[in-house]
Amino acid sequence: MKLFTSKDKLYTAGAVLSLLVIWEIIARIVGARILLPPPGETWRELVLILRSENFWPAVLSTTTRSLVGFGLTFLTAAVFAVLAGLWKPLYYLFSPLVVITKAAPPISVILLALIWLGTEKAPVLVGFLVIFPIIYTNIITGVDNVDPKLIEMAAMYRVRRLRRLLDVYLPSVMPYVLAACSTALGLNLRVVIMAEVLSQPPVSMGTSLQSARVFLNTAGVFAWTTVAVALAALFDLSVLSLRKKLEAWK
Amino acid sequence: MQGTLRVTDLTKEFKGEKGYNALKVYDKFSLDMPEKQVTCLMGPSGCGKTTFLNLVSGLIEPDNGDLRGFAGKTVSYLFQEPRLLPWKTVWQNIDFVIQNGYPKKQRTELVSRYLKIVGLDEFRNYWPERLSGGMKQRVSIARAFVFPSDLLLMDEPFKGLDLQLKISLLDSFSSLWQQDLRTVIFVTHDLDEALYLGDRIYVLSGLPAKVNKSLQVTVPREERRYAEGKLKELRDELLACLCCGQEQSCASARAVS
Repeated sequence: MKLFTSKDKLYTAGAVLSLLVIWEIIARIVGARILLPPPGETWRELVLILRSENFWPAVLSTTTRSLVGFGLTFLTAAVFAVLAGLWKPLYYLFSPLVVITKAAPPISVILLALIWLGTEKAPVLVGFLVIFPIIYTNIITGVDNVDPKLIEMAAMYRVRRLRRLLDVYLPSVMPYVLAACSTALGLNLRVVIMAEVLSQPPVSMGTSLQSARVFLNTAGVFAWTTVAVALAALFDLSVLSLRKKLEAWK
Repeated sequence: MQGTLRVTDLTKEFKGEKGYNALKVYDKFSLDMPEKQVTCLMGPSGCGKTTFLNLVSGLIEPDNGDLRGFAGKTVSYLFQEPRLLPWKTVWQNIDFVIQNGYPKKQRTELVSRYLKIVGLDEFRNYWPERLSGGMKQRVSIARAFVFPSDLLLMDEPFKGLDLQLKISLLDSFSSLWQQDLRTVIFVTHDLDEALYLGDRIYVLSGLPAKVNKSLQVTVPREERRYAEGKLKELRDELLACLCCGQEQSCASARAVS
């Protein structure tokens, strides 16, 4: 399966170029750099940021926070989902919790996390609370959707339990897990940065965004946003290549 | 000396869901199935043929009755659908059922042998998704034979295939079976299939199920032609039995399923 043809790439490039032109035009009409910096200025600011000694530590700290948080959430959600799948009472115990975390406004979650934890860890907790329900629900749905006919077939042929788990259940659930990952990874990054803006850890992308805003450096805000978008795209691409590898049979 | 699998006084009742009466599928039902032969079960839908397979395979428990000769027998199953794992290749799908039984080298030989017999050796590394319906069913036939079962249960595995494909699958099955005799219980609605593969044909009817007719196919396998030749007379006899006096039991069976 080929994901992008060269024609697709051409169209995408054309679209990006047109957007840049539109951006430039609007920026000229607005005529106030504090409101909307033109692409050129954003580019210069981006180069400045890339060269600053603060850049890599900030990106690294946010990436670490985001990935560690994702990993922890993923493991917890997987364990919870399996336990809930094995034992119905747990499922019922978890479901109101999941509903509440899903429905709670992210900002309340951020405020609570700030009250409970320090500036370094609060964004991780926020990310956790936002993406946990997504991963958990997806895995549960995946387990519910394992084809009973395949399970029956494996049981008929007396395939051992471990093999059934690895060769029937796991591959059935995998598409759901991967779909959850591709949503949750990017969302987690965005939420972590948002929480960083509010919690202000010493070094982070969120902190840098906030200080750019404080100094009325709108081009800086744009530039840091570009960095965040690039990072999210990188995350997306890695999940995509993992999916291509694991779902070659589709 | 060949043994016989014998079901005596089998009773099975399904508890009614709310608002429905309990359903007695079998009441003191008895049937003999010679080992290393193909026994066909025919009869209207809902007269308990699949239930019978589930009972003898141990998937469901009878309320009462004696299943002699079944204890400790290993079973392979040919379902209506191929039931292949979509994330495993043709090869891996067949290998899947013998992973615990044999060392790697022997497994390779076994899988290879059966793939050749069903004519899919070239497709060993294909994903099931890439195969046609008939090819998938051939993979599942190879899988059923590669598994060292004493008993092979078949629940209309050739249903819904076009005639040419069906005949080629029947031939695949027939040649596999003759190289590797197993006790087969074959549920089908197609009398030509039954006559082509069967040694003995039972026609069931009614609820609870009764044996309406029992028919021995004595024409040697190599002289059988699908839907013609020496089988013609038997076919007429079977057709008469399947169609006459069945209206009532068919209707009541339909109300159930």
